Amino acid sequence: MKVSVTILLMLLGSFAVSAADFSVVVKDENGAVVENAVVSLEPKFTLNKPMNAGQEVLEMGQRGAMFTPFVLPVHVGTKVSFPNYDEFRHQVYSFSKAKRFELRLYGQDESKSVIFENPGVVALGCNIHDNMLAYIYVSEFPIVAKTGEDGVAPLSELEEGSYVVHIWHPDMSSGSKMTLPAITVGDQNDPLNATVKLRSIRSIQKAPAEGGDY
Amino acid sequence: MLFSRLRTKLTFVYLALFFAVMGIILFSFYRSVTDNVRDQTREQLSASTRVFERIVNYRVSTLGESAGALAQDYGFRQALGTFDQPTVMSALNNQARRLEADLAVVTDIDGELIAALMDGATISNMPRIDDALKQKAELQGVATEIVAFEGRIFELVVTTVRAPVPIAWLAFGIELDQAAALEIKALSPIDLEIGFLIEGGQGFGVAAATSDAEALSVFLKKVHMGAANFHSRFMDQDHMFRRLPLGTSEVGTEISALLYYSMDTALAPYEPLVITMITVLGISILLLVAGSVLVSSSVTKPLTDLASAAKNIAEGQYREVETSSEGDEVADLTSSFNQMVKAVHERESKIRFQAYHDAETGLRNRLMFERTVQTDIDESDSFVLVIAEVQQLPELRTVLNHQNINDLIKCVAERIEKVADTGVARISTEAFGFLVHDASEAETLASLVVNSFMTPFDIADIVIDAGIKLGLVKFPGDGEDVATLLRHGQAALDIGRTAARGFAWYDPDKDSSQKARLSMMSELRAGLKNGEVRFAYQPKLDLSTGKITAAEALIRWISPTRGFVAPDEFIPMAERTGDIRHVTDWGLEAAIKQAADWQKQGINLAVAINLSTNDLMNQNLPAFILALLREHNLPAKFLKLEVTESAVMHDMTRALDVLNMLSAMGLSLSIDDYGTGYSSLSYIKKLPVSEIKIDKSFVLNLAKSDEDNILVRSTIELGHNLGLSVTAEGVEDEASVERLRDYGCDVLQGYHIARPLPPAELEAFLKESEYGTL
Repeated sequence: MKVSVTILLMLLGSFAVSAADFSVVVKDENGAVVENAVVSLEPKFTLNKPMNAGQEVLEMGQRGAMFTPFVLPVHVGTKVSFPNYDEFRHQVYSFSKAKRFELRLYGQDESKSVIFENPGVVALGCNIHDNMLAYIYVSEFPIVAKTGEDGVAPLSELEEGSYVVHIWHPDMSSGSKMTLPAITVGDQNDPLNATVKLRSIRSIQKAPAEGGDY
Repeated sequence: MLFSRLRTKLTFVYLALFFAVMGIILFSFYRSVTDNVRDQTREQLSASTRVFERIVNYRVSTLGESAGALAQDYGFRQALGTFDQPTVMSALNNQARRLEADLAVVTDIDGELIAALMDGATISNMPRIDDALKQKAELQGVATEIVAFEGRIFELVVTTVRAPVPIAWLAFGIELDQAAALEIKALSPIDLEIGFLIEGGQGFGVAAATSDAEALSVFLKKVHMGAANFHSRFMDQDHMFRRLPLGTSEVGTEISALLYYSMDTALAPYEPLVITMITVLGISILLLVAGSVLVSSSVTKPLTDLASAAKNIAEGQYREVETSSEGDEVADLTSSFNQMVKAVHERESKIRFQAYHDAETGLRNRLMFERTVQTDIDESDSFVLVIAEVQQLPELRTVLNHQNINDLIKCVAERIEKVADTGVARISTEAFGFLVHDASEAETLASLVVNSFMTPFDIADIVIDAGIKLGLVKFPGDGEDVATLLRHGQAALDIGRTAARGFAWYDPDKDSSQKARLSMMSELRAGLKNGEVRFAYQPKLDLSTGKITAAEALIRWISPTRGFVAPDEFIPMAERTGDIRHVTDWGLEAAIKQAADWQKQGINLAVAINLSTNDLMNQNLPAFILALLREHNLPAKFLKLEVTESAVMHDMTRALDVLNMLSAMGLSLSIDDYGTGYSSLSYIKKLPVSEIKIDKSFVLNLAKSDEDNILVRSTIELGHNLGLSVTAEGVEDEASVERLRDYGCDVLQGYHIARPLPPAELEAFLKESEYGTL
C-alpha cells in the first residue's frame, strides 16, 4: 500500500513542563478531514504514568437500530458494555480475530459486557439488523484518540518525549494501520497533519430502512 | 443478303437491348431482394442479440438474488467466520443445487479459495474474480461477469459475504452451454444458430453451440472475424454472422457469442418469385424475337422492293415502287424514291432527246440516224440508205436569215418524209439521211423526192427554189457497218450532184478515184514547195497597140508520180478541201515575183492571176497582195486579178468587200469565163471590174457559128457600153482574129497568139514574134 505522509513538526521555545497538549489532524488524499480515524501513540520511553487497563468501562450502545459510536477506540483489556436502547432486541456478534463473540438476543436496558483482551479491530454486527455496523479498535498502546467531525484527534497531557504515531480507519485496507515515523512531543506542539488513503467504498453504518419491520 | 443481314441486325439489337434492360431489372431485383433479406437478417440478428442479452441478464439477476440470499444467511456467515470448512462446503453445495448453478465458489476477503464446486463436485481451482468485479459487487451487492473456465463459459454472479464487514466472496456460475443456446434460439424470432466462443491462440474455439459445434469450430479456424457483422459460406450456405462480445477471459482474450443465420433460408420465400420472373423473361424473349422479326420484315420488305427498283432503273426501266406502308418513314422513302425515279426519267428523256436531235430544228440528228441504221443493220435483211443534200443552200444563206434557213430545213425534211414516207434525220448542215426498206422502190422514191422539189418552198412569204441531190447505198453490198454506209452514201451523193436525174448509186470505182484525189492534196502541198507546180503564162494581145500587154498565169503541175495533172483535176478539189489557200498564196507570190522580174528586165508585162471563191471570201487577201507588191516593188497596174461569175455569186456581199478593196488598191479586175454563168451584164455593172473575158466556148467556133458571132458581138458592144474592156479567150485561128477585130474586141488570148509558155520561152517569144511588148 502506497501511503504518503506529510509531517510538519515545529518546536517553539523550551518549556520544562511535564505534560503537554498535542493533536493529530487526519485528512484524506482529497484534503477532506477524516472522521472516526483512530490515532494511537506508541511512547518510545517509559511513561511516568502507566496505562490503567480495566479501570474504565466504555460503551457501545444500540440506538435506533444503529451502533453508537461507529468507532470506539479502547486499550487492551478494556471492558465494553453493549446497552440496548431500542425497544426491540439485538444480537450483537463479531467474527473478528481480535475478539470473536456473540451476544445472544437481549432486550431493552439489558446490558452485556465484553472485555477485549487482544489488540486489533473488532467488527461488530447485528444478526437481526444487517445494516448495523461498528468497530472497536483495541489498541496495545496507552494513548489512543479518535478524530471528530473536524478530523482532529485531541491528545492532552502527554508526557514530553518521543512517540510513534499509528493511525487506523475502517476504510483503510482491511486490518491494516498506518504507522508514522517517531515524533517528539514537547511543551508546545503544533498539530500533526496526517493524510490517509481511504478506499472509495466507505464502510458506513446505514440507517435502518424506514418503516422497517424489526 | 444485305437485307437479311439488316433483319438479323435489327433482331439482334432488339434482343441485346432487351437483355440489357432485363439484366438491369433482374440485377436490381436480385440486389434489392438480397439487400432486403440481408438487412432483415441483420436486424433480426440485432433483435436476437437483444433477446440474448435480456435472457442472460434475467438468468444472472435470478442467480444474483439467490446468491445474495445465501451471502446473508447467518449460519453460512457464521460458518465462514468461524472457519467451519465442512459447513461452508455443505451450504455451498446445497445452495448450488438449489440454484441449478454449475459453478459455486467461495473465497476469503483476500481472494484465497475456501471452497469450490463444479457440476456438484469439489474442485481445487476456480475462475478468476477480478478486483473490479469485486468492487462492483461490494457497491451493488451483486456483480456479474461472463468468464471462461476450463474451456467453458459461465455467467458468474459474485456477491460479498459480510459479517458485518466483508469477510468473503461468494460466486455462482451458470454455464452458457448448448441448453442455454437452444433456449435463446427458441426465443428468437428467426431460426438462428448460436455459438459460444472463446478466443484462443489459434482463433476462436467453440465452447458450445446450438448445433454442429464441430463444423463451426472447423469453420472458425478458416474465417477471419474482424467486423461484428459479416457473411460467409458455412455448411455450404451463405450465412450472416453477428458476433457479440460477452467478456474477456483470464488471459485477456475475447469471449463472445456468435449468432448466425442462413441467407439461403432467408431467401427461400423469394424462390417462387424468382421462378415467376424467369418464366416471364422467357416468354418475353419469345415474344420479342417474333415481334422484332415482324418489325424488321416490315422495314426490309420495302427496302428489298426499292433495291430491285433501283436495279431496274440502272437497266433503264423506270418503274415506280408500291408500298403497303402509309405515313411512316418507309412510305416517305418510297415516295421520295418514286419522285426521284420520275425526275431521273424525265431528265434522261430530255438528255436523250437533246443527244439525238438537232438543236436548231428539232429534227433527228446524225447520232440518231446512226443508231437507226445500226438497228436496221442488226434487224433488217436489206435496205437502202439515202443521203439527200439541199442545193443552193450557200446562195440562199445570202438572202435568208438564220430562222428562215432553219424553217427551210424543216420544210425540206417534212417534204422528204412525206414523199418517202419515212423518218428523216439531219446528218449535216445541208444533208439529210433516210432509209428505204424496199430496195426495189429506192430509185422510184429517189425520183419522186427529186421531183417534189420542183415545187418551191414558201418561207416567211418568200418563195424559195431549192434543189435536192441524192446518194444511195445498198445494204448489204455497199457497206456492212454504219460508218462505211454513211461514207459511201456521201460518195454516192458526190456523184449524184452532177447526175442528170439528181441521184446516183454508190460506185466503188469512182469512190476509189476520189480517194486517190484526196491523197493528191497532200502531194499538191508538197509540190507547191518543191517546184513541181509552176506557172505557164499565156500572152494577151492588145489589138489597139498590136503589142503583148499582159500574160495570164496558168497553173501547171507536173507530179513525179502522177505526171501532168490538169488543173481541173486538182483545183476544184483543193477548193473543197481548203488547200486552195496554199495554191493562192503560192500563186500570188510567184506571179508578182515574175512580173517584178520582167519589170527589172524592162519587159512591161502585166500578170493576170485567177482567184477562187475562197479567195474572195478572204478579207485578208488585199493586205496580203499589197504586202507582196511592196516586197517586190511592183506597181499595182502590173497585177490583174480574174474572178469567175460563180465565185462572186457564192457570197456576193463578202466578195464585193474584197473586190472593192482590191480595186481601190489600183488592181484591175476581170470577169473570167464570161457567158457561162447566169449573171447578166447589169449585174456585173455593180462590180468594180474593168474587163470581161468572153469564155472560150463562144470564141472557139466563132468562124463557123453565127449564133456565137451574134453573142460575141453583142457582148463586146454591151461591155463597151458599160465602159469595160473586153477580152476574147480561145482565139485559135486568124479568121476569129479578124472577126473580133471587126467587132471591136480589145484584147485577144489564145493559141493563135501563143500557147501558155514558161517564163523563159515567153521572153523568147516576145523577142522573136511580131508583137513584142510596149
